[in-house]
Amino acid sequence: METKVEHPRLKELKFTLYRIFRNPSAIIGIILLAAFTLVALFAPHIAPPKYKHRPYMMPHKGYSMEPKAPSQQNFFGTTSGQYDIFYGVVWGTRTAFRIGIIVVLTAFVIGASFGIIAGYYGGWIDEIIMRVVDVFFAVPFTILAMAFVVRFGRGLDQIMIAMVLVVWRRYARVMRAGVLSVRNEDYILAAKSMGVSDIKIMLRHIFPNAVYPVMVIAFMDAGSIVITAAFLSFIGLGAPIGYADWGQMLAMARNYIVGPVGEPLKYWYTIFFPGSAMILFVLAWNLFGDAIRDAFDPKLRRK
Amino acid sequence: MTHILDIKDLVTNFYTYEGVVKALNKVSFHVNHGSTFGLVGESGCGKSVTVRSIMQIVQSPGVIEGGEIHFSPDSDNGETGIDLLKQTERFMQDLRGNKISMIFQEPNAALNPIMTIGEQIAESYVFHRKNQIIEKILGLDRTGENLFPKVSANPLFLPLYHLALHRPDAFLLELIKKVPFLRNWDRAVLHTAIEKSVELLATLGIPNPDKIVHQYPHNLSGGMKQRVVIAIALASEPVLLIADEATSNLDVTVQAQILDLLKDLKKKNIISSILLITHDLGVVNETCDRVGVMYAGNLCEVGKVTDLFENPKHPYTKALLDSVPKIRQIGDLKSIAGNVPNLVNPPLGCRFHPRCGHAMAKCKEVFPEMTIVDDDHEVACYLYH
Amino acid sequence: MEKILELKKLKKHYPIHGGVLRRQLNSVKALDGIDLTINRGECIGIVGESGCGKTTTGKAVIKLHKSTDGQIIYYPKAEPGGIDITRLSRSQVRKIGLTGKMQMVFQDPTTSLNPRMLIKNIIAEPMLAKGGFTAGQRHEKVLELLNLVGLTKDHLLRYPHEFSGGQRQRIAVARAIATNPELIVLDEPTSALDVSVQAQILNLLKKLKDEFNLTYIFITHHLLVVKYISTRIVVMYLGKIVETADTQSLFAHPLHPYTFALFSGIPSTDAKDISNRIVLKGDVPSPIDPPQGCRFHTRCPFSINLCEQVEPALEPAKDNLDHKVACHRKDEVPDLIQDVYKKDAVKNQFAFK
Repeated sequence: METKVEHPRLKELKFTLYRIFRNPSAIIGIILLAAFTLVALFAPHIAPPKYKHRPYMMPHKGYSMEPKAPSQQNFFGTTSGQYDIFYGVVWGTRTAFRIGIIVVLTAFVIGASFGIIAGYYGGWIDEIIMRVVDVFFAVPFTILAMAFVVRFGRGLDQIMIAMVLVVWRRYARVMRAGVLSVRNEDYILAAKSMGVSDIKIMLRHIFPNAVYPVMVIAFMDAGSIVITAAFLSFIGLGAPIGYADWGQMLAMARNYIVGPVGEPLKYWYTIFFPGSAMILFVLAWNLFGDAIRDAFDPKLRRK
Repeated sequence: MTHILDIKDLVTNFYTYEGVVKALNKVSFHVNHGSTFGLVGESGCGKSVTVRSIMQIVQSPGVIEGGEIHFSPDSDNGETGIDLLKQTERFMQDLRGNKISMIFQEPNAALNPIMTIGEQIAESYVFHRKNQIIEKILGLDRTGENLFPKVSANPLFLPLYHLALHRPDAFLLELIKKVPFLRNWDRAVLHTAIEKSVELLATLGIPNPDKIVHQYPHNLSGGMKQRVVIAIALASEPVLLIADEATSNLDVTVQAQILDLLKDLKKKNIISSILLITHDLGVVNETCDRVGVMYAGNLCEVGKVTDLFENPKHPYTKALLDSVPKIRQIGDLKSIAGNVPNLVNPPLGCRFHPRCGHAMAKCKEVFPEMTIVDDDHEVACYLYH
Repeated sequence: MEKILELKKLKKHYPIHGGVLRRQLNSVKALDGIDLTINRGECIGIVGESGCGKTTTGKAVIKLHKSTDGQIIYYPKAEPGGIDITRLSRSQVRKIGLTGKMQMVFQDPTTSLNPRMLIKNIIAEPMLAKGGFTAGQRHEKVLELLNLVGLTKDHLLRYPHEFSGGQRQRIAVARAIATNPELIVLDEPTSALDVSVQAQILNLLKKLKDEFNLTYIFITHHLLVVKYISTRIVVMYLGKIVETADTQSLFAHPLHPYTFALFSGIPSTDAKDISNRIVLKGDVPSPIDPPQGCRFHTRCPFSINLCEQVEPALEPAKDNLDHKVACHRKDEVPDLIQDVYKKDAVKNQFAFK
């Protein structure tokens, strides 16, 4: 019986894809994202790790502070401390995905849950949750990150926790706003009148109808989170020295941004490769997020 | 009787993802001077698209693809009038809200919540009659001769009024608009217009019009808002009023008031011709002189209201009348089996044939042309060919 | 006759909060003390304009909000003694096994069906909420329900937006009868539909009522629609019942001036019915501050001093005990209408033939 007609979810998906692919910038975003994903997946083949047990540590030959220009051995040259930039860029893709996805997913789960509960129940529960969110909004991010690093030591995990604590508050607010707009829809009332329990109403009726704005923000955040992480690495709060992380690589190239007198662009490769990787990564997520928004916007969706 | 509006073979299509929606399929009808024409049909039959096509405000995927819309504002000249579809956008902008006014179902959407009622009516009033008001303020008569200065405006600004009268697009006026305080030099115009709007509200039977003009839309009830919308539409003294489901959102007792008002306005000659769009057959019966019944983008039947309701010809009109509960309802309500067709792939031939009890082989192939069955009564059905 | 539901002095006041401390300033008196007994198997029509409290009544019965005061007593078949359900929460209702005994159909089927759920899940939802069905049973029942409301199994795997308004309302009706309820509240079920579709839905509802011995509370603003489907009619105005009678006698001898106005407000398609109508002046007063005395006196063409001071009680008419009216001049109204409007037509017009 179900074989005759195309399954409606498939049909919806096709329609969604059609909407996404109508948009040329979306295609650019998706191609970029796909390229990054491939690089991340095949990192061990593109740049075989030197230390099998610690693949994220960039290999380095020698300890000379001066970067070396691209050559046969180091396609992108080496940065300060003779770390291989090519290796760093390739494995840094994995780091970037890890940071972006883990932080955004965790924050999404926390923020969306609190947002739904606050919006659905309203009253005192709403008041308490939203005041907690306000408190979190009052915490300056850099100081929070510093505090974490001071307490728990330098490392990516610490700054990821710090970022989750900062990112979820926004999701909670947006989610709550979405819930408030669907909370009094007739189908919610209908479900209540049938005796459906609150949890099921939240999961089956409210979540699917209120989640899209949060999802769009989350997609865009997945890119910009990487910049934040890079900033923390740059000021020395993030990944340990030698870790394959774009921010870390920029930090190492700090003293070579401008070359010696007469040759200001001498060490261009130290900034150019990790920097453009980062820019393209953020761009990819932003274009993708835009496409998702266009595809899911209920106002634009039909007609 | 001459036609104020004469529509011939109007075709409007919407280009959507699912395909081309053939919203209007050669719709032809005319509205007489001094009469009320009702366009009825179920949702999606194209009645709103028809008026939007007349006003050329069809939304984005929609395109008017053919036909003629002749508009002749003067009743006495026997010419065919101007074809609105051949006019520029600039011309149409001038026409909308001036010669042809439109009122919609939702008064809240038509009223600006942060302007007083008086300002909103005055805006519409001033829009097309600024010069007339300025002449009045300056005490000039039509010939431009200075009779006696009848100054209600600030005398300092009088030269500006003269300038605005003779060279309305002068650079100085543009400049002054940008200067705080001075930009309100033409306040006297607005005040005169607000006085006018009080008069207008009074003719619409609104109690305490001088208080209402200083109130905001949220102070008013739904029925009162709809009256204000009508007042705004009438402020520019249009020759044709188009009411798109103007009473559908109102309660029955308030709807009765608004329908009475429309009838009254016609009696007092404040508005002569009305094109009324509605899904409610009862409303048509009570207010209209002639009526057109639409189904799935086609006009099925046009005629005098009394003829058409007592003696419907088209099977769809008959079925529609049968499905309305009546005061003297005997037996079961008859409903029309099936659903309105999807206009992306409308049925060939007569679009009603899949639901029609009298469908013949011919109905499935060729669309029936309108035929005259009676004096001023046309039907598009092979039963009468 | 067997009672199924009894409303006793039911009140619903929506508080209006204001100020920094969110103190209660006033309240919207949506429902201001109504008494109503509904018998098993009848279709009771509640008629009135927007803001009269008809939807609030329906929602109170179905427990979509907590009533401010009064009682709702439900007499299920199993327990003729009656259960006070006014203060029960949803989980308490489930505990005593009443989930799914009362259902509701909403006005606009475009908003009352979750746009992101498949039809089969939408119709199965009340069964899931009630519990005690296996997946197979649910599937079978869904098919049966679809057939019952005139849809086919091809429609199972579709989303609501793929249907027309009438079909959507059929789906909503199928969902409402999925758990074999005893009582269904129909909140303007045909107002958002076209006339030809309205007739389809009305006939469907009639058929289902006879087939499953359902009790309906039919809420509408359209008198002719309730006349077609209801056995008894309740006319409400500003949170109060102003007149109640069985359909025949209400249409034959309406006693309250407001009922008269409602009758004449309906635009009629019958060419002969156009006659001068009673057009009320003004609008419905705000339910925040309802008028003193009789609530209708501000718009009533026949109001006297007494009406402004004393609120009339709902009392039986002199010749028909089942016909109750809340009007001080109920015995004079028919004559008054004829006098004032000088129209014998009025009486004939509403004569029930």
